[in-house]
Amino acid sequence: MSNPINTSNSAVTADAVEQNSGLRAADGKEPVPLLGVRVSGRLLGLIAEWVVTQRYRNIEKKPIEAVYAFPLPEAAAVCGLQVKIGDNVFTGDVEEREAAFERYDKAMSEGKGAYLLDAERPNYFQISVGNLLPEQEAEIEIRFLVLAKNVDRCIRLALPTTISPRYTPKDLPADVRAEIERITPPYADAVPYGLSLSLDAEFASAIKVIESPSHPIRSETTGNHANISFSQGEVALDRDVVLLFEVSEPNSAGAMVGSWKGRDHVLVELIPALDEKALMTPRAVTFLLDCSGSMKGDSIEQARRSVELCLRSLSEGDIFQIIRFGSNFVPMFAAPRSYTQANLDEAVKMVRSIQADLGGTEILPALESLFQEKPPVPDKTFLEKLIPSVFRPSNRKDEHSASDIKFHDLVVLTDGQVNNETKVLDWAKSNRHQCRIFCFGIGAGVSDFLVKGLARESRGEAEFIFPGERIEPKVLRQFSRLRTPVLRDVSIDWGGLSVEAAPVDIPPVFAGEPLQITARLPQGQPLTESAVIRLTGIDGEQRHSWEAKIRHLGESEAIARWWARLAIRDLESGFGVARTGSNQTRPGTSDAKKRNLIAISKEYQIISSETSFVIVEERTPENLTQEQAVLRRIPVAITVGWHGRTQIKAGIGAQAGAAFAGDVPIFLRKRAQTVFKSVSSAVTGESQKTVFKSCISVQQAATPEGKSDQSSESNIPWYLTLLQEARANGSFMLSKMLASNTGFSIDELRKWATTLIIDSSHESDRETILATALAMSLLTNRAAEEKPLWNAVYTKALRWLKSTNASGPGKIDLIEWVEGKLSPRA
Amino acid sequence: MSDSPRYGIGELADLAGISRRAVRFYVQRGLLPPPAGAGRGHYYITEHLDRLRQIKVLQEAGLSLEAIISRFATPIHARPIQSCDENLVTPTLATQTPSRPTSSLWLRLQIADGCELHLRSGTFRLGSPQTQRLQHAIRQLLGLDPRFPENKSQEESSDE
Repeated sequence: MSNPINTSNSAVTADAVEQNSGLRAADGKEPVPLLGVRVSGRLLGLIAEWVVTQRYRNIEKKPIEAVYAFPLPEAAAVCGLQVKIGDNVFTGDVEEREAAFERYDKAMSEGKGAYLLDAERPNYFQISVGNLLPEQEAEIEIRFLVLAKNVDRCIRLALPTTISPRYTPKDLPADVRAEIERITPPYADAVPYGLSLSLDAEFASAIKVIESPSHPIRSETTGNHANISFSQGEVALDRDVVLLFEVSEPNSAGAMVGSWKGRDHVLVELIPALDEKALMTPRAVTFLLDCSGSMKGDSIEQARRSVELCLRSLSEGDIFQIIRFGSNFVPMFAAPRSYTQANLDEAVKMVRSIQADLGGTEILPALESLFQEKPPVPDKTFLEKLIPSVFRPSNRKDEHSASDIKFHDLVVLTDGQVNNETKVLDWAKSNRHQCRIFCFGIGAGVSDFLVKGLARESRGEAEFIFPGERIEPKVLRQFSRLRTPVLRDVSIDWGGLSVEAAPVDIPPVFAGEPLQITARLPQGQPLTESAVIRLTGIDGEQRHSWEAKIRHLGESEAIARWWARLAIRDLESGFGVARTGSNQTRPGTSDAKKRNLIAISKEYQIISSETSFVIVEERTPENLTQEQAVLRRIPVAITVGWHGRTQIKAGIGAQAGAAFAGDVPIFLRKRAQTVFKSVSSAVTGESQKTVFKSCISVQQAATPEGKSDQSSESNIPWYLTLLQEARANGSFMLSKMLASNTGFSIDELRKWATTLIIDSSHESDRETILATALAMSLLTNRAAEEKPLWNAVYTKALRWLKSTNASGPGKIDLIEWVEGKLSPRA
Repeated sequence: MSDSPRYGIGELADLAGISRRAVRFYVQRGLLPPPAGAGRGHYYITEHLDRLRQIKVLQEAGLSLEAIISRFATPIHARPIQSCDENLVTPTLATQTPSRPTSSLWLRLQIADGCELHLRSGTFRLGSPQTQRLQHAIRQLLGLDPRFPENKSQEESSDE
């Protein structure tokens, strides 16, 4: 009959609010028990090991249960949970998800301390810090690994810090919506806890540049080693932390073998040299542009510029379409169109006026519309106002029906803030035979699970663009992937051993880019010194193979855990862990897969969708709580720039989302907004300590959305401006911009044009022929290092130039002649 | 009454078709009374299950958790269920889920010819903006004039 459970919980809130007014969210009434977050990491070559430390303190008179939802990179192998309470350290175990929760719930009801870490999504975690006694402090440490990638000598590390409010599609069932509500944190304009950072990075070659588009950083660099922290000490958790490294050498390929619990695990990185000639077979390219509210501000501006640049990289013979999506989807043309100068001009004009004005983020219907002959129009009257051309009967010869297109290259530009990721990724996977996705994650807090997942499932590739980060190299790199052939029929021989490889599905191999793959070797069968790991594949018409040099590292937990992380992902996304040789996933039902997933997760102590970390802190009887703990959900900051609330790159924007209208928080007004750069002295090898401040002063005046920010345009290198002048057929017009880069006046160049030897049919193109040759010469001679960026445009220009049969005076090769004319000024 | 079923959190969650974590969350948010019994022996009873089913109905009708919380206006975590042996029902719950065998009052609304909407009285109120919105939406789905005609409704009592 007796009931020890407290019966006066309703009084808690009032009690609590009276105390400790210092630590509250700006717009919340409840005290916030999270005091601060510290992230410290160690990057050794490609493997980064991070520890996130969250410090909690109960400042109330009642026991509390603090619940905090926070993001981690989607690839993170979360491999440790520790709690420090005073001098005591408790270490967590990975257990089956429901069992872990029951242990937690039972400990809570018994008045013990309890800690539970759940992976709600691969990039979305929730920690429950239970029965924290009044005045008690707890330090939670979450350890995780990520694997970096060295592409074109650049390494990009990104750590998310907050979970943007996400769009929940209307058609989700009630129980799924309820779960989403359970894990959605309360939001606040400002939160009382901050983030500090320390990273110790060491690369195989000298560090040339360290920069961060997201934060002012302080770095101390010596040769290939650097220590990095925020120059402000503590920052707000309202945007990703992005760190970019440029090193002097590409990563040397090879196979690292590490032993763990008596078994060898291998991490292979290979960079197959492929023929990089651009592939001129026509492509059907559809741009899917997220115009939902969350894209307002910097994101939509970057998306507009990206699409325009992509459009100019297309070639004659290609087919293209642009679909904007939000609550509805709006195709720009009634049907995909041929790539002609007229259609390019029309598209560019429309792209420049695109706004993030389509409301929600219903990405799935937009994807599904791709294969539909006549996509259903969700709201005809709404669309008719926007683009009457869609409803005009069309007999255009340059329009194509969906059935004409056998394979789609889809370029998706989004911030990925949706709650139905799994459904969207399933779509990408089941349509990979007819559609490949090149995805751009745009914004300060992109959901990398959706963006990387779309690319991974469809065998495309993802790039991320933080506000203020240079767009052009990323866009052109994606286009070069889209254009150039990938290695076909890829297989790996693991020294003749039957291994469990992960990922099972070997990722696509693009020219010049590293392929990373792992394997677990059978018990008692280590890789010998003489073993050879060989990758074989077909490039063009030829079969090639590449060998990975084996390096034994001895004991290595990191490689084993990285294998486990990838194996878990395979099992979560429906692939079994395959044994090579059979080329089949293990037979078994989804139950068997689930058991396998849980087994790997527990053995390697890596969290998964089916497992959680749990800790029970035993207490002396006098420390057992006697009343129900009060729930304290930690408020999280809304991503900066979300819904155009603030423009990160261009200062403070005028746009405030309707739901969040009001003053911009002070701490946001003080934000700097450009790329913060730290250049180390790699040449002298001297240690440098550099604190960089914001380069551009904060623009206090509002920047109306839709007008491009001129100050950022002026930083664009000349060759990118030149690429923007490329015409649909590949030719260039004689322009002031082109002339100024040659060092000659337009009039002088016009005189040169009159001396060219040209077919009478091309007489009127005389200046265009010269301009095209000049542009090609400038690119090859003065921007040789940027070849991956201009290769597609160059190939197009060359093809056009050859078709004109033009030559220099005396029948000399036109390009040679132009180079000769330019060289004295070079 | 001593043979009334007692549920562990897992069993309760499975019966209600929600996650164990949601059960705990609803208790913490005051949507569900805390479990009965103390510490190691805590358990849930039929009233918890009934309440979870009510929550589910409201969620399926499109209500958010916040809206459901405000619907169950009085914070019920202040009044935990004592145990199976006691009078089980708190005053708020009493009007909706009297002790077994339960009977409940339902509103029957004729939306159109051949289409009726049944709503539990107490959870829904005749003529409330929410009920009207629901009727309105169904009429729209049926392609009818969304303006609702004179309510043709009746209350009927039925065994649950």
